[in-house]
Amino acid sequence: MIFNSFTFIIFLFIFTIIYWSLDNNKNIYLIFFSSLIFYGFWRLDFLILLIISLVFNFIISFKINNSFFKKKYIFISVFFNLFILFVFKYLIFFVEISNSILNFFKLDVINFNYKIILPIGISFYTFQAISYAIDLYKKKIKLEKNFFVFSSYIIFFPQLVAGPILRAGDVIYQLVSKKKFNNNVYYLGIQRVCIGLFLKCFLSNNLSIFVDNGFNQNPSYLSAIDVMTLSYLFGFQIYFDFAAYSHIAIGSALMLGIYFPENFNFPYHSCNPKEFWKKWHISLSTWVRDYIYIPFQKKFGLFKDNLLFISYSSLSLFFTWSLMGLWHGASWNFVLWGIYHFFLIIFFRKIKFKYNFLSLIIFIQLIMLSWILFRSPNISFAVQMYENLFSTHKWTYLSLRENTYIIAFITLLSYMVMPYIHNKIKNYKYRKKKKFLFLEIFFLIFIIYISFLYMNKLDQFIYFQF
Amino acid sequence: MSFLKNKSYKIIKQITAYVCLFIIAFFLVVFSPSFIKFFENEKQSKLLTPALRNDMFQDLSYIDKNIKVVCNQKDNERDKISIKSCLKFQSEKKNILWIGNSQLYTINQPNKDDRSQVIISAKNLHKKNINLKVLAYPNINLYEMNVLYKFVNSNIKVDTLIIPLFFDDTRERGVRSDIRKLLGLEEKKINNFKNINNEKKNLNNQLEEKILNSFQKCCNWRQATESLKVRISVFFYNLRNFVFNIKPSSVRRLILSSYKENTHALEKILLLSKRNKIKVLGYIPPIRNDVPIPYNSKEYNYFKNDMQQKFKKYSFKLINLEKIVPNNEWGSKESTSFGKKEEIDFMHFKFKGHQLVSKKILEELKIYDF
Repeated sequence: MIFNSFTFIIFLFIFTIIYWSLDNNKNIYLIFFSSLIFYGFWRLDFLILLIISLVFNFIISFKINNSFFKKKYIFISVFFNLFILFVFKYLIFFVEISNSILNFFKLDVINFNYKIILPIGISFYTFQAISYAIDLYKKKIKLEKNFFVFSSYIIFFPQLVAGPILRAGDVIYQLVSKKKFNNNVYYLGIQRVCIGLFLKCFLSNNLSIFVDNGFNQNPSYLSAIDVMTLSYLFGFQIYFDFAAYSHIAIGSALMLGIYFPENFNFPYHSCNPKEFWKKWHISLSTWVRDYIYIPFQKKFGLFKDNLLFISYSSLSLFFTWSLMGLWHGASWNFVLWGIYHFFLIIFFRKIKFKYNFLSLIIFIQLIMLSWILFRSPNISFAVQMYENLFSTHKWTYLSLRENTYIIAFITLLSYMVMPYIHNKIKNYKYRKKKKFLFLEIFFLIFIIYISFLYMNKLDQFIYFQF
Repeated sequence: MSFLKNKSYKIIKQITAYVCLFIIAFFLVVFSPSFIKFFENEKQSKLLTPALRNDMFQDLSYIDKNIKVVCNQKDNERDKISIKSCLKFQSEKKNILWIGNSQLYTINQPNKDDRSQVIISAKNLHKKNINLKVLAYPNINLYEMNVLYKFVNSNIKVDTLIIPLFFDDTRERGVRSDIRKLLGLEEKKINNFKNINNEKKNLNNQLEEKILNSFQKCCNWRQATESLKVRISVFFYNLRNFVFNIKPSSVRRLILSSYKENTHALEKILLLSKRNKIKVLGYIPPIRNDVPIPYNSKEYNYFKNDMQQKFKKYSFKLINLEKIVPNNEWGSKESTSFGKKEEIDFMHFKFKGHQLVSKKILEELKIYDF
C-alpha cells in the first residue's frame, strides 16, 4: 500500500480506531495482521517470502541466544538475509558483471533471461532482521520469544517498505507496553502525516516534472548551469520524497503511541559530510556505521601499516561507502555515488574551512552534484553531465525553460530559511497556544486540501525501489 | 450515561474529530470550483467581453456536412473528441492536412459572422472537391506535430501537409498528456524511476481506482481536481509574470535542447512526407510589426534560415507570411499578469488577418501544383 493514497488514509484511520478500542495485549496481533495486509496490497505472492523470512529469523534467533555455537548461527542468519537480498536485488547485476568479464576473455556468457521483481521493502526488512540478530548475539537485547511481537517489529507497517530502519531495543518494548491514548500525541501524529502527504504530493511530485524534463534531454545540449540546477532540483525532490515518507511513518506510529527516531533533520544545513550524515537518512547511516564501518575499523585497526600507501582506516571507509551506494541500487551509478561520498569525506577531513558559511556553500554544492550520479539513467549520462561543468563554452548559455531556474532558486531559498521559520513557529505556539490552535487547524486543512488535489495513484516514493 | 463513560467511545469520538479535518478538505476540493465560478460570474459582467473566440466548434453546424474540419481542441472538451472518429477516409477526394496551434482557429475581437482561416480555406477547397483536415492544439510543438502526423498518416491518405513554424513552439518539448490521451498513448510516468506500484496485481491500485471512481460518481472528483490544478497553475504563472515583469513583448530565447529536439522532429515529418510522396507547404507565420518582436533577432533569423535549409533539403516549399497581416489587424487579449486587464497579443489576429492568410495559403497550393 502506498502512503499517498486514499486507501492508506482510510486504512490508517480504521486501524487506529480498532487499535485504541482493543485491549493492549491484543494490539500486537492487530499490528501483525494489518502489516501483512498492508504489504499484501502491493503483491500477495511476495507475502510468502516475507513470512518465510520472518519464520526463519525467528527460529534462528533462539539458536543465536541459546546455542553453544552462536557464531555459526549468527553467520547463518546474516548469510540468509543477505542471500535473499542478493537473489532479488543483485543477481541480475551480478550476471551482467560476470558476462562483461566473460566477454572480455572471450568466453561463453551466462544465459539468464529471467525477470526478477524486486520485493518492496526487502532492503529495509532484511537489514532490520540482521540488526536484531547481531544485537542479540552481542547481548544488547533480550531474546523475543513471542513470534507476533518479533514479526511486528520487523514488518510494522509504517516503516516496512522504506524505513526508518529500527533497532529492536528502541521498538519492541514500545510494541508490548501498555499505552494510554494521548490526544496531543495523536494530533501530533496526524500533523506529521499531513506534512508528509504535502511534501510528497505537492512539492516532490511537482519538482519531479522539472527534473524529469531535464534528465530526459540529451546531456550534451545542457549547459553547466543546467547541470547544477538539475542537481539542486533533484536533491530537493529526493529529500522531500524521502522526508515525506519518514514524516508519514513517524506520524502513523505516533498515532499508535509509538515513537520512532527522527530520520531527517534539515540535512542540507550541513557544513561537512559528517554533519550531513547525522541528518540524512539517520537510521541507515547509523546502521551502516554500527554494523559495517565500526566492525571493519576494529578488524583493520589491528594493522598499523598501510596497504599500498592507503591506510586501513580509509580502506574500511571506502568499502563501507561502496556498500552504501550498492545498497541503494544494483547499478554502477549507485556504487560510484557511494565512492563520491567517500572522497567527499576524505576531502573535508583534509581541508578545514575557516568560516562555516564558506564550508556550507561549498559542501551544499558538492553534495547536490552527487545526486547527478544517483538520478542519471547510466554512467555515460552522468559523465556527460559532469563534463559540461568543465567546458568553458558550457557556461555561456542556458538550455532549460526559465521556470526551471526560478523554481530551483525559490526552493533553495525557502529551504534555507525553513529552520528559522520552524523555530519562530515553535516559539509562537509556546507563547500563544489558543490563538495558534485555530491557525494550526486552518493550516492543516489547507495542506490536506492541496495533498488531495495532487494525489496521483501512479506515484510512488523514490525509496520504494531500494 | 454508562455508554458515555466508556473509554473506547471517547477515544473514537476524538479520532472522528480528526477524520472530520480530512472530510472538510475533501468537500472543499469538491465545492471550490463552484465557489470560484460563482465569484467569477459576478465579476465577469463588469469585464470586457472575451477578446478571443475559438471558432471551430461553433462552425461545425454551419459548414456543409461534407467538409470534415476535424479534431480541433476546445479548451474544456479535449477528452471528448476522438481523433479516429473525426478522420474518415474518403478515397475519391484529396486530403490536405493542416496541423498547427491556436492561431489557426482563434479570432481576435470577432464579430458574429467572422470565420477563421481554416474554415475559410475549408469552404474554398470543398468547392474543388478537396478535403481539409485540421489538427490544432494550443502551443503545439514540432515534436507533438510529428506524433500527430504519424498517427494521421496511418489512418488516412494525406496528399498535402500544411505546417506553420512558430519560433515559440520550438521552446516547448515532449508530448502533453492531453495529446497522449487523444491518441491512446500510454500516460507518461511522473518520474522515471521504476514504478513498483504499477504492477497489475497491485490491490492498492485496484482499490484506489474504485475509491476514485466512487468520488467521481458522487462528486465529479476528477473534473474538480483538474480545474483547481489548472487555476493554481494559472495563478502561479500570472504571479511569475508579475514578479519578473514578463510581458508578451519580453524576449523569448532559443532553448537549445528543445530546439534540437523539435527540429529533429521536423526532419522526421519532412522525411516521412518525402517517403510517402506527400507535398509539404510550410510557412513562417504572421507576426505583428508595430512593436519589437519578442525574440532575439539573431536567434530568430537563425531559426528562419534553419527552417529554410531543412525545407530546401527535401525540396519542399517554405513561405514567409510574417508581414502579411497589417498591424491594425492585431488585437489584445486577457492579461497574464496581475494588475492589468489586457495585454497585446502577438499570436492571434482579427478576421481580416484570417482572410489574408487563407488567401495566401490557397494561392500557394495552386502554385504548388496541387
